[in-house]
Amino acid sequence: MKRWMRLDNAALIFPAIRNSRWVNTFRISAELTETVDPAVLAQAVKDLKPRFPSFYVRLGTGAFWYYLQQIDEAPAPRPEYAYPLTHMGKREQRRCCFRVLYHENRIAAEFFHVITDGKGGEIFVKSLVARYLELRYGITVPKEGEIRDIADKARPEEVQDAFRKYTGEVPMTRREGTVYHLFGTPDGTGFMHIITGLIPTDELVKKAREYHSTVTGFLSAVMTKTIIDMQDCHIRGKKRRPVKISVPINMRKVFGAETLRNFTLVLNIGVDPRLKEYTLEEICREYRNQMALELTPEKMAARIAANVLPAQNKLLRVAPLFIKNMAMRWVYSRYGERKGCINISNLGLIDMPAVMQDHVKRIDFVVGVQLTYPNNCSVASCGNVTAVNMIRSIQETELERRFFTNLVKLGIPVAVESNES
Amino acid sequence: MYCVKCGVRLEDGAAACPLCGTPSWNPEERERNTHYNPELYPAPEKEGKYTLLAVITVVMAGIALGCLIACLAALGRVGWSGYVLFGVAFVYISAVLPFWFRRYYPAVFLPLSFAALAGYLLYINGATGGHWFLSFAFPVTGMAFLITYFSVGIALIRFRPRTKLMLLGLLFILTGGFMLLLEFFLHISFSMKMFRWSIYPAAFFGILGVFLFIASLIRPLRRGLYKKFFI
Repeated sequence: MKRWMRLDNAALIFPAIRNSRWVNTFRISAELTETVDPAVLAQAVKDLKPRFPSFYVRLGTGAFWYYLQQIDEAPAPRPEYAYPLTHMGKREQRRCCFRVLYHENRIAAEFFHVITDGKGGEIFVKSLVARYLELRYGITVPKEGEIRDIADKARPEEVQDAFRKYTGEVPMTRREGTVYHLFGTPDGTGFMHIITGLIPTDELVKKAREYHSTVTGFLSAVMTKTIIDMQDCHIRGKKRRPVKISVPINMRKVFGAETLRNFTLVLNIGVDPRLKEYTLEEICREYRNQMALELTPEKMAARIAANVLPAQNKLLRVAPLFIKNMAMRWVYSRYGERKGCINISNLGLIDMPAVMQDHVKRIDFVVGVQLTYPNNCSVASCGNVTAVNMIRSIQETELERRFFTNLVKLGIPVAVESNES
Repeated sequence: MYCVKCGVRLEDGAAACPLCGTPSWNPEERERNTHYNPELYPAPEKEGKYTLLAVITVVMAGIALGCLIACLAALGRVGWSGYVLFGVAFVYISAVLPFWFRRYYPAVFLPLSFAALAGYLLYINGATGGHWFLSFAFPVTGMAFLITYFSVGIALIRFRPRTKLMLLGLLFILTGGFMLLLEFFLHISFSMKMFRWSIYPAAFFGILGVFLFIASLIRPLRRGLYKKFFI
């Protein structure tokens, strides 16, 4: 019998807010040292299926809920046929919620956010690459850390909805002030412009330490400074708005959870430029304090409760799906994307065993643009290369230019690539 | 190779800086060695929307003209084809015309649709020699338009929660009043009996409206409602 499961609490929103042009997807790609063998890759994708049952699913539509149903066949890897994060339509989601792509020496996986978040995707891609390398080169990759052994069975805690498990009893209010919104001329073709900044990890970490900050905190601070400068060009004085960065927090660390499905919460950290002219040091300090204040398990549980409790509302539960969708879209437009200027999603240092590291040159993490934010930023480090991927759906490159130039001015060497011809 | 403006290092063989567009100076022309693969990108799709709209327009115009010509040939006057002509015009204005634009502008298209409906009704009234347009169809269409306009406004414009609830209450009270007026107009145009059915929906909407209006003024009640029903 084909098993089916409910969407986890965070995933509920994604099918409700998708439309014919936009869906919440992200991509993790690994660049190997040699050309990818498609047949071996297909075998590796097949081999991973029993170990990752929550990934090999299709999105089904019921009368009251969306649901995930396991699929029989693992999806066949495809050669890259278009730009990164090409729109994943409803028809494709009904067949499988992720795709595996290859091009020359790159393996990429693009996930619909409904099945997993960045960390889950990272674990999957690492395990996939490990399996591929084992089949291709006959090496044995030690199954340590986040690389899962395909001989094992999937553990129940890996497929559970951790939000329900760790929810608090009292919800935290979601009310926050609105912020400055980035804008630009929409591209209109659906093409996702990506500009990648490659930074030596050691230099970045050294600079972040100088400011007594983490890499995420430091990059968020530089981004905040950039957006404050951009806002100053358009609006002056008291009409200015606060500038906030939405930082997805991996809750597995906070609660010690093992789930491979969504378990991320977004924290909006920011400063109000009307209060004073913040320097980078001050923003870094501010962010350090704000994070320390918010990142406690109790507060996180209260934030989760704010998402979980409405879903348990009896009136909403018996409502047909289209009513639920309308309600969710409304909640999302009100709370989802109005409270931050841009996302900075940092996967952190992606560590892997030395035998595997020899074959992997670089790992990229790209989160698609949000419904209304025209820009998005995602970061991943592998070895000594940190790839800062800035994606945008608008034509102007002002944010990217200012952001990377600011990094260069701070003495961090940045190499820039673009996906445009 | 570095961009002279931004100070970032560029890919080998890049023609320009992707950030600022400054052309890069390549002392040795090298082949572009890129992580991405732009040669695979499909050409941007043409918008098929306008072709479809044009086809629909032609088909609808064809139907209307065909009927008109057939009727003129058979009867020698406009006759029944007038209903078709005005009906097609009404459907076109309310359901096809807005799609020619990039987004739906309710402030423009809603009045247009209701005006088209009123025009259609006026024609039927004239063609059948009726006496009900001014006393029934026009005021009822007008009121329906006002209520629709009002509710779309409440839904689309961002108000403070309190104002929104208050307006919602007013909308319900108006709807209740509309029911009463509807029966009144039926009474004067078609001499139906007064107060046979309209008091029930009117009372329902009225009570709901007054309740929402009061709730908008009392903060704890408003919060309670919000928590239970998301309103």
